[in-house]
Amino acid sequence: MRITDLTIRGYGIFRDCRVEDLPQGLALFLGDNEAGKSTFLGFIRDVLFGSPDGRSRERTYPSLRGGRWGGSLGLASRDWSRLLVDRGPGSKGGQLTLSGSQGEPLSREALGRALGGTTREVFKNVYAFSLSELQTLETLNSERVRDAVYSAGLGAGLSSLPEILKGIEDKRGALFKPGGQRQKINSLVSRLEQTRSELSKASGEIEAYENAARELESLAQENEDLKQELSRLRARRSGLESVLTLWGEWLERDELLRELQGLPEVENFPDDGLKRYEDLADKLESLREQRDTLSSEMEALQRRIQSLAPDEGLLEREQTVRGLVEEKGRFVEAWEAIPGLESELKARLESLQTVIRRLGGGWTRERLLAFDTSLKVKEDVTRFAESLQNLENRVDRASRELKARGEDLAGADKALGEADEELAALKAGQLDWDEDLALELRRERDRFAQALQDAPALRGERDRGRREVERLLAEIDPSWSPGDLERFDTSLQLRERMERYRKELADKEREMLRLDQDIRSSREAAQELERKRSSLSRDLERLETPEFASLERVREAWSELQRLRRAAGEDETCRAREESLRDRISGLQREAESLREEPGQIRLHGSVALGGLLVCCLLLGLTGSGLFSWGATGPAAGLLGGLGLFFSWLALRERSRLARRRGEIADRRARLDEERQARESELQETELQKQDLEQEMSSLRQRLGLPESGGEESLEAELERARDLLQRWLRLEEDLEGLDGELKLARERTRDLEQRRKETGRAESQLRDAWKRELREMGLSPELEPSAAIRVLDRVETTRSELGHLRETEARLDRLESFMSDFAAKVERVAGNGEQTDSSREQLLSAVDRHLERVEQERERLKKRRVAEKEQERKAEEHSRIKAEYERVEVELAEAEKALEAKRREWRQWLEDAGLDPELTPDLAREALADVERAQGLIGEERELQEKLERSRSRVRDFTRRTRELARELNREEPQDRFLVPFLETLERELETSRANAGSIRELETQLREKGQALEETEGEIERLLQSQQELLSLAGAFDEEAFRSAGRTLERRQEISARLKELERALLRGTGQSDMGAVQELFGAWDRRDLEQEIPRLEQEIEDRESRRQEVSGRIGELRAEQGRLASSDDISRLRQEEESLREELYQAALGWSKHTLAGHLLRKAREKYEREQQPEVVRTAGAYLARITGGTYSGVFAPLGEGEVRAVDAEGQSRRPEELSRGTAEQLYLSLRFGYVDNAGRQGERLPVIMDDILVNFDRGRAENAAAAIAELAERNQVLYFSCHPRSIELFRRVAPEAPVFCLSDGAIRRCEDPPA
Amino acid sequence: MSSLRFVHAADLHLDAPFRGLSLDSAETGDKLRQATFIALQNLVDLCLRVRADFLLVAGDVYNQKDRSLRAQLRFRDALARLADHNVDAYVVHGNHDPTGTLSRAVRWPENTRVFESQEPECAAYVREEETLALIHGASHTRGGETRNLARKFRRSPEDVFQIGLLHANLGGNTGHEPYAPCDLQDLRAGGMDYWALGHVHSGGVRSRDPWAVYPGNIQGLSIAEPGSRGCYVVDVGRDRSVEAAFHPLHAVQWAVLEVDLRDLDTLDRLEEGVLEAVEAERERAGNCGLICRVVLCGRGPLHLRVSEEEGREELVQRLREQFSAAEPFVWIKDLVAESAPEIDLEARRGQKDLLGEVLAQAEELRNREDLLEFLHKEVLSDLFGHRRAKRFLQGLSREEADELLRRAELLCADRLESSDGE
Repeated sequence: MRITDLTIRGYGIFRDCRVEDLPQGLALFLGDNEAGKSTFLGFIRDVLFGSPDGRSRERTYPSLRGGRWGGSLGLASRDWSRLLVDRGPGSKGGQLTLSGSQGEPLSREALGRALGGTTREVFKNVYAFSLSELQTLETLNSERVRDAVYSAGLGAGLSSLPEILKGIEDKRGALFKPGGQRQKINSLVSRLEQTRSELSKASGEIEAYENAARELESLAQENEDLKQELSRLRARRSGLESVLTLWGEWLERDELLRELQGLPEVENFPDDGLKRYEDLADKLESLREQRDTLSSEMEALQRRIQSLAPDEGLLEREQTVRGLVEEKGRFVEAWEAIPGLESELKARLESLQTVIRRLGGGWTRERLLAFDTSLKVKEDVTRFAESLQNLENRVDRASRELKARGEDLAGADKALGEADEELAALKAGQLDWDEDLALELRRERDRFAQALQDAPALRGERDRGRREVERLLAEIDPSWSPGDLERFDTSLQLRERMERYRKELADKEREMLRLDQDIRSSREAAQELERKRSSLSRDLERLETPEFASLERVREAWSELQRLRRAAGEDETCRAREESLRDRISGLQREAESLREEPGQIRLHGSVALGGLLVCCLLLGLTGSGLFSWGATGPAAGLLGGLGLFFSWLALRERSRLARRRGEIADRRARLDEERQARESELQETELQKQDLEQEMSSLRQRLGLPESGGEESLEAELERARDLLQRWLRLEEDLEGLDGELKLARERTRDLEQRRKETGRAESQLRDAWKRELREMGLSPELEPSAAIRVLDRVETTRSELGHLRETEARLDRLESFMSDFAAKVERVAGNGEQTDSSREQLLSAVDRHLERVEQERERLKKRRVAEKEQERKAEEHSRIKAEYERVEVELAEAEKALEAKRREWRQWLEDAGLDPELTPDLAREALADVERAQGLIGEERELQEKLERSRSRVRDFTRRTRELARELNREEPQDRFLVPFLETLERELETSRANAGSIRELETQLREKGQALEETEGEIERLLQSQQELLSLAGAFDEEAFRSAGRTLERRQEISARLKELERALLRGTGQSDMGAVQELFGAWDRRDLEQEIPRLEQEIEDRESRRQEVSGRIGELRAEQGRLASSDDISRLRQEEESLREELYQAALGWSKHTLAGHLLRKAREKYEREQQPEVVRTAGAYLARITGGTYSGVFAPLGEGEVRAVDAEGQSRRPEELSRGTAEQLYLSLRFGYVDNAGRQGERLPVIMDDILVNFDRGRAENAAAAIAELAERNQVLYFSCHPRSIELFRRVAPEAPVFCLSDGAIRRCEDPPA
Repeated sequence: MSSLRFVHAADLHLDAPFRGLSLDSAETGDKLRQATFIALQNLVDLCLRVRADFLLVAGDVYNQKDRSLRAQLRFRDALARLADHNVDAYVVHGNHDPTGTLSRAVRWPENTRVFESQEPECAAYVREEETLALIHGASHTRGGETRNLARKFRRSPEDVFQIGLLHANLGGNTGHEPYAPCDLQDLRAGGMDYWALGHVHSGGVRSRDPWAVYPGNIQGLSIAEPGSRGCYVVDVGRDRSVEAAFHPLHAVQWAVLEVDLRDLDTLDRLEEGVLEAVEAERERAGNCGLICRVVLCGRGPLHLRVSEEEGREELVQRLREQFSAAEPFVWIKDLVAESAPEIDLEARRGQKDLLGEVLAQAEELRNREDLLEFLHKEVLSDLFGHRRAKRFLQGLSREEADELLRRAELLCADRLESSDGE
């Protein structure tokens, strides 16, 4: 991949900058310091990877000279034609836009592919780096870069391997930790344990159910038994209870039977005879009473009829009387109305007169009735009233509006006048100015102000720089001038040489010191050895000389003593053995003798057996001879016979056993004899042995100088003491010899060291002389130490850089001064208007500000005038509009007044036509019309009243006449007018009384007839009943009533007793549950009442006991059933098992997840290990080749120990050196080689990215710089390389190895192709 | 002879827990615990509906190790219900419920015959004084019965239809434990007209001469037992011709659904795809609960998302919510990612980059003879050797280890490839 072109919209000092035609290979960029090289590098990084965020320590480049931040890069590669990467402001490193060759938008992945997975960090440190990144080892040691560089070629993804591994590790850790609690698997295991323990608690349901079932079965049986027992007991109890309860009935029955026997029999007595007789007697009594009542009632009725008599005349004229009574109300009404009607008529006439008077003269009844008061007339009046009112309102409105318009007109006049005045005021006084100049001044004003502010600091910086350079020069050498500084060689070779001197001198010094120390310690060691030797020899002298000549002799004596002891021990053993042998021999002899006695006993046993056999035979013989008759003694004889047979079998068996035993004894005796002989010979041997031992012991004792017995203990102690002494003596002698040897060695070593010290001293002084010569050649004080001289070199370089900085500051100051004087000249040009100008630049600035302020004010005033002109025009227009309106209102008022006058004339004419007063207003005319209407109403009412009065008078006359006629017909006195009504009322009452009396008489006569009939019937019935009584008496054969009654009572008692007896027997049968009275008789006969009363409570107690047991059993059955039900419906185990399964599944899944991550981690680590082991050399080899090339073979390669994450340079002799042991330049070359090694390898694996370097050769000596340039040019054949430098020399270097490489110049934020590059 | 109709069921496994199901919905859990019982009820309903003469149950009515009283009582109640309607029942025991483990407190109804001996016994089915069938039955009397029980069966001399009722493993390779093994030859030698077998959970007619039938279990208990589960209704004609028809009984059905990631570019589309697949399965399953495993397969842009456990878990939760109110219920058991990354792993294996090296390492492991020992002792010993955890974890099988390796490879590939574009 390469960069083809780029566009910077705004980035650091760059603005709207474009670079095109960047070549495939090497491109060079030349620019002074601050020309924007680092900025340019930053731009490429930021566009490709986004700008660093706030946390990064990397530098950021905001857009300093305007323009939207960011820009774009055009990329191209062999695989794809073109990719445009654009980065603008935005979060997360900036807004990224990607488009293809046709401008089509592309996804973010396109850029990822183009960069081949390279991260920002890797790109920054490996592909696009400046001197600072090159120099710092840390940049290559950060883990990501290290992984990337050392494992280059591992392909995409390695750079993020630590993150991937960490991610996987995090996942594993979240799932499971061996000692964890909260991790998923750990917590699942805990839950499973919990579930399992709950399950084991919950199981056992089946056992519980079975136990319950067994118990239930036995309880159910018991329950059944109890039920039967209870019912039996209850039956018995209730039987006995009924006997007790019926005891009274039983006694009663007894008595009744006795009474029945005592009563006489009654024959031929009619059924129910007594009762029938009594009924007849009762009926007769009541019939007689009834007959008497009827007679007295008939008499009373006849008396009542006689007391009533009616008025017949009045009854005949009933119709007439009722007609008059009906009219009576209307008569009274007419009579009373006449006076009221008369007074009302009079009042109407008076009202009419009043109205006529109000209407004025000339009005008669006729004229009033003829006057037209129709609705049309009224409507005319109303129309006139409305029209007149409208017209008056119109006139009024018009005059009010005219007044308002007059006021508006006056206001408009005034406003117009004011606007004119304001305009006139604004037109006065104006200023002319140069617009372009003002703009230029404004643009440059801030820069001038900044320059004014910066100038003193810059001057100060310059002065400080000068002083610093002088100081530094003086420090190096007071006589040095800047020229000397330039000439002074600070090349890396010199540095390295000095460093070598420093190291060697230091080494020599260190060695001398070390040798001095060694010599000292060697001497001390020798002295110490001597001290030890003399103390040892003193010890040896003090030691007494041993009694025995040598240790050997002591050892010999020691072993002889031991032999003596052993011999004594053996002697002891011999004695003991001898004794035991003797015992054994005598034992054997005894045994042999006892065996000789045994055959006699055996014979005895045999005779016993024979006896048994004999008894047996005897018994058999007895049986056979019939001595015992079988019948009685058969069994006993059989038994004896059996015994006999048994004994004979025993005897036979014993005999054979004895025979065997005899054989065994003979064998045994032979063996005993053999053993005795063996023991005896053994004894002889032992005795011989004992004799030998005794001989040996005495000889040993002789040799050891011991008495015949004892003395071993003291000899042993003596020997031990001698041995110890001897050993100690020998040891001391050995030590002494050793010390002598050591002492000799120590002395020799001291001599060697002293010799080496002398040689080293000589070498050091030679080295020092060479160093001094070197210093003199350099023109430095020969007394300088190498480290001080290196510091001088550093100082010279520092001073040089300080001097460079000083020159730069001076140039900047010059540019600033020239800008300020240009600006001052421009200000002079505008300050011609009598403005104050002064050479002081601050005042110049304030003059510019004042001028700019005035210009601004003038602009403002002009703007205001234009506004005022517009306002004045607007007000004039308003005035003319108001005036036209006023005139229109005036015309309208005149028209309204004319119309009002015409309408008034019309009204007056209408009044005249109606015959009314022409001066009436419409309201008054409406009132006159109302009066006429009222008068017309009054005339009508008067006529109605006259007619009503006449009708009332004629009705009164007619009523009076008819009433008087009736009085005459009834022969009564004619009543006066005012008594007419009371008279009629009296007649009416009398009429009612007569009518009522006539009805009562008819009813009483009917009743009288009915009573007569009833009396007759009663008499008949009495007769019939008397006859029946007589019949009864004759049926019973009773001569009188008393005899009849006595027979009846006897019969009744007999019947009563029989009925009661039946009842009692029924109750007894029912109560005892027996079927016939015989059984009842038996039952009651069996019990005494007192026994019975005791038996029942006993039974009750028994029942109660059984009942309570039965309740207990039922309760337990209920409990068990409930328990079974609970167990049957229990869901616990099922739920727990499902839960266990569920947890197991979760655990299984989690375990698979954990295993997957663990295995993945394992695979990744294994792969990395292998890769680092096998593939790493590729990068390192390439890097080694680069290093050899750049150093011209001084270093032959690069070495990277596995897993240590560091690199070393290998020199021509094969010595490896750490970067800190190399000179700065060489270290930089090592890092550069590593980078190139990585770039080359990564390129072979995937995408080749552009390499961008910023002045990295400055610390290389000329030869190595050339080599490096050649290496870079060669790299550029494969990767695009952009090289930045501020040294034309560097550019020349590259032009020599790559003449066709284009050169771009950077200056003050611009980049352009160099027309005349350094050749 | 009159015609005859009976129902043949086996492997009821009443009240056995559903395996491999991690539930966080208590409601669904309750439904699942009822599932085997509902299936039993369906069995009884079927017997009554088709007016069967009798029911044959060929072992494994319940799991002895579960010690479930509820299972036995429910079974008793079911038989009692059949007895009320004059349907006889003949029952043998299998390896999961050997004789003697049933509670003695549970009494079977009068017309239930339980064959308790391992020696075949014979019972006659008599209708209106006519013997219509002889049923020979033998039970497992202990767990882990490895003897050939089928060989002990002998046809009776009577000339009636004869049935052998046995819990046995017919033929070697059934995927079940080789308890009471036998082969077709043994069955032929027994001389039965119909062998009512139990033990193998995937039902089917194994032979028509003689008839040898496995009805399978009446309720699937794990994802390894998907699809319909039920029993056979067998009709025996006057001429002793046999017709057997399968009837489903399950209350909950397990299903494995595949969703191809190929054309799915967003998670929303994936969710839709899964929903469609589940809905289609619901349609097929009809009126019973559904437990689904959704297998995401194929190559597609969503591979990376679905290979992350969190991503899948989130999707599963969302899907479960979608079906939370479904009736009958639907439970998404899990989402299994069997999708492949867009790169070709085989082509990458052994290439000289890190991924190639990882794949090569994995291949090396895969070829190890002692892979299981190596994994358990070296790589995964923290967990599989953990004192507490190992009590609940079985060691990995060879298949599981291979699958684990494959997943670890995919994980590495995904991580390495996704870090590539960052």
